[in-house]
Amino acid sequence: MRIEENNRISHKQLYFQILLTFTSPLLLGLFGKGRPAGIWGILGTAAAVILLFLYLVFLIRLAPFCTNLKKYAGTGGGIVIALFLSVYVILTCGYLLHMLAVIVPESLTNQISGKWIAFLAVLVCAMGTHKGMQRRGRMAGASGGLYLAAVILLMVLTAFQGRKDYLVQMIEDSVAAGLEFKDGFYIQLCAFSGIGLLPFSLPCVEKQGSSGKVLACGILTLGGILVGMELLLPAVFGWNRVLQEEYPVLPLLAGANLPGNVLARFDVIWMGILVFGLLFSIGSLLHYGDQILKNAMLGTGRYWLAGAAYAVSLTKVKGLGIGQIFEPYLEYVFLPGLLLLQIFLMVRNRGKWKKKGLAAAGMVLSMCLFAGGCGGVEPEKRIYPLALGVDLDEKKNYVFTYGMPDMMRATGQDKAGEEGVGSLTVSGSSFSEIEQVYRRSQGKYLDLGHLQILVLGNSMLERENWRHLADYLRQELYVGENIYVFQAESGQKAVSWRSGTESSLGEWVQGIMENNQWDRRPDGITLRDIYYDFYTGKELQKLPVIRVEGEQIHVDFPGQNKQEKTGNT
Amino acid sequence: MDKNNSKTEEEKKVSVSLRENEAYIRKRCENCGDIVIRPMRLGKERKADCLMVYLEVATANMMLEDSALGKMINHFWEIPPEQIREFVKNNSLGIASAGKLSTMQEVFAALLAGNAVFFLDGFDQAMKISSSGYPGMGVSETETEKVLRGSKEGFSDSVKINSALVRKRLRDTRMKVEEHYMGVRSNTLIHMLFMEDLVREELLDEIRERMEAFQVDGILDSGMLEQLTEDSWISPFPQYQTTERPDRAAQEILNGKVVLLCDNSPFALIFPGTFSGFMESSEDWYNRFEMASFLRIMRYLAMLAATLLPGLYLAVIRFHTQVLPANLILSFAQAREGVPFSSVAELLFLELGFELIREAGVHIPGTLGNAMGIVGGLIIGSAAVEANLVSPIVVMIVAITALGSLAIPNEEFTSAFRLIKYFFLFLGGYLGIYGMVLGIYMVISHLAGLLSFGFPYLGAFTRKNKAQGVGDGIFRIPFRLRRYRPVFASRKERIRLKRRKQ
Repeated sequence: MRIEENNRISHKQLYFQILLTFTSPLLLGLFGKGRPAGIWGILGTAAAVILLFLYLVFLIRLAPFCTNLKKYAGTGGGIVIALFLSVYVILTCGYLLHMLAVIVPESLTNQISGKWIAFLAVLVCAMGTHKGMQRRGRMAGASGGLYLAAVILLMVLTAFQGRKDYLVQMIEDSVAAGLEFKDGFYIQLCAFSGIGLLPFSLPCVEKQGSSGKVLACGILTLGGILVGMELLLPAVFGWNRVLQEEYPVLPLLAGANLPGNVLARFDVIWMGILVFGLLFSIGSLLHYGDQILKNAMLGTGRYWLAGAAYAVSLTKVKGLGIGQIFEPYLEYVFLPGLLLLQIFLMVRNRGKWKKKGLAAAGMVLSMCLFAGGCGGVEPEKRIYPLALGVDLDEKKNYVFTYGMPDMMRATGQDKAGEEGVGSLTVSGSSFSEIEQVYRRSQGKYLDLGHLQILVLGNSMLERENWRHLADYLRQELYVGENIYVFQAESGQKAVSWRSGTESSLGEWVQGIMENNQWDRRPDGITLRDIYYDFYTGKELQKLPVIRVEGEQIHVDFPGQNKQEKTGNT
Repeated sequence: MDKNNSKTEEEKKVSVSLRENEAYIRKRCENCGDIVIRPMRLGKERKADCLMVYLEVATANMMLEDSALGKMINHFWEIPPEQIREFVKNNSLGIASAGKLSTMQEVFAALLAGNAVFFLDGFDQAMKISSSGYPGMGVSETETEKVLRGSKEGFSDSVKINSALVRKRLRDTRMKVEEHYMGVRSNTLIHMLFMEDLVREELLDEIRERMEAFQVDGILDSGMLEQLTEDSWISPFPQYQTTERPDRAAQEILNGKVVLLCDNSPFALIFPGTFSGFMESSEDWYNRFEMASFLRIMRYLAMLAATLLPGLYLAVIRFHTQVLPANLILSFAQAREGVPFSSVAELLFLELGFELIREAGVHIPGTLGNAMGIVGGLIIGSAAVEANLVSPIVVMIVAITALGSLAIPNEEFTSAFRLIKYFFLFLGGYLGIYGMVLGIYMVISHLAGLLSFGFPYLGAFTRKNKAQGVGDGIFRIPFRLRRYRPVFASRKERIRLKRRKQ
């Protein structure tokens, strides 16, 4: 090809590559159970970003020696570095595939097995990874801007759900919990350790001399997103929930309401964006793995790297899979090892670089050592309860009453089909038994994705029975967090009530909550608020009460005198 | 052996002896009923032996009184044979478009191109006398690239007319028309049009090399040439821009691109092709920038709808119903009540049905084809809904998808999206949003790796340097700000528009 480009990527493409490669894995991997959070997490992130700036200087100076490992590190040294980095590529890809295999069935669709999801991901990501840096640069250039805009937009939208009191509580609790700064800092460094592969891409960047600014911008943007998320998560969910959820980033948009009523929920879009980022990361890792092997004259990693990564994502030794061993591997093996090898490479070629680089490398090392401690279900084959009543009967069985919509009224279509059953009651000694009873007795798939209200019978409020229910509902993939929660003498009775004008109780109540002017709207309690009480171990806050009196229904909102709404059959 | 023979034939000179030339021509034209070989005796005493060879349909009219050749022959009746030879030798028959031919190779090339060839005994060259050529359609209105504002002229089947239509718009000798022949048996004439000082020389070398790289029986349309010379033959995305419009071809030549015109094809090939180029319409630059930008955005949205909508619909109704407002999903569910097929099969059948209607509409002549579209769309769709074979919402999805594909200005480009739509349909139907994300990743990855003559296909969206004043992105910049040529043009001639000094 006479006019083929110079096989180099631009600064903009490098910037977007950094963002696309790191954002999703860091958002998913850095927050949640056992991870540093709160004020110390924020400080740890900020400190890590500052240190990474210094490390970047070192990496830029290291870049020329990574173009030919055999030449600059010697035959043996080159092989050791290449193998060390290839192991990192395989394990990180395996970890990301494992992450996909967990989060997609958990948050996107539970109808496809995790193994299939990981297999398809690795198959797609392995395609074309050997076809040069420009291709990845162009991919990043074409999709990076949209990705970044979408992440920031969705974060801004979520910010409106945040609560100041939750944030204050986070600061107080994290200060009281003691100093976690060191751990937080080191974990952040480990998470960013993939930056260590940058020297393999820098020789392919145009105007390499000034690429430091771009790298710094990339790290700064990433740091900004992470710090933003550190603030956003506790502000939206409450501090305790963030500490206990495995991936708190996933349900971030499960309770978002946006104007226009075009889409009811945005969490699927959010998940789609996160998954795209993960796919890009896996593709980038496979590309760099191939590049490293080529630079060390060890052939190509074209397909076997992907195969090995998939195998790693499935393998478990003594009950430990990549999900469990990846973090210790990063902390104790990869990060120290990477720094040692990079310093070895620098020292070996010391005549070719200046003292500044050595100082930066030494600083990075010392800081680190110091810190080192398929198949879907058709819509007509589902039922869509809009209201759920939950009671506890005398035999201590849970009674679920699903309030179905009047299809004729809801859709305006008079197509002959199964008429709405009004309400459906299922009981069982546990929630799983209720699910089993439902599956045995009903021919349609129960789709709880459109629940609008949850009515707890008084019996559910006794002896903290509601906690069991909250624990069950938070694991339900499709239940949104923006549904309103009420109490009633009997959940079953309330949910079975039919309005004369609306298709269901759910619609009627939602109309009351949302169809008033802003200043006249009653304060509803949502499921997200209930989760907050659940995670903090607090008493359940006072719920609005639904009273059914004959053919009339009333809703009393706490703290609002005579703010009572009435409906007639 | 054959090779040697053909080499000898190629090198065979026109003989001084008319008998020898006639014998050779008669041998090669044996059983060619459409070629007329007419010996004549001209001159005052009928002593000058001549031979006229021509294609019957292409040249017969020339014999009429008012043609140049007719007048020449009449003139030859009355002058002595010596003067005839003198006249032929020095004055090229006195016809402006006549040319001398020295070898039989040239003779047959001229003859088969629709010219008459005149031999004279005792003269070692033949004369080519241009004629009206093969019968063909004249300049007609473009069929596939209709615009509200702009020229109505479209390319015809004759490469020479097509070149002239471009020349009519670019009256500058710096626009070169390079002739090539491709096809061992079809000997198809190909014109390569470019602006000498704007084009990158490497582009020209590249296409010359690619045309030389294959020996093929025949090139019957520019589509064949396109498939032989594009970078990635396996990709569904076209790497040559095609156009039926001379003004579009001229516009692209001014951008530093190269235009290939193939005889017998009304479609010009423009290279390098880029994603954003396919989304542009020639009238974009004739309309005001606000409206043109709005229409471009609409086209991009249409492209997304044409590709992703069926897959997204299936992903949402089969996997992620929570995304839709409750009333909407209830409507979908109610509408599908009683439909015997799964939603994937239902959508697939209807999409394929639409493709059938489209294909039938193309082959049915004129207004009947349009009627077929309406009958297919309205009556069959409505009947299918009535019979509960499909749900009304699926008819709407297919209709919006079809509208989206029709809004993309380039048919070849649309076809790529029409194909990958099915890929997304299955991904969305069986893997939900996860499948859609996988598909989007694959398509972006594929497009990022695609090159057209060394230029990135996604060039306008992934360019390395800031390129203000070019106007090849999604937004159409105001015409006064379109100061620079795109990256395809020679770097020495970057400036396209500047204000004259007062």
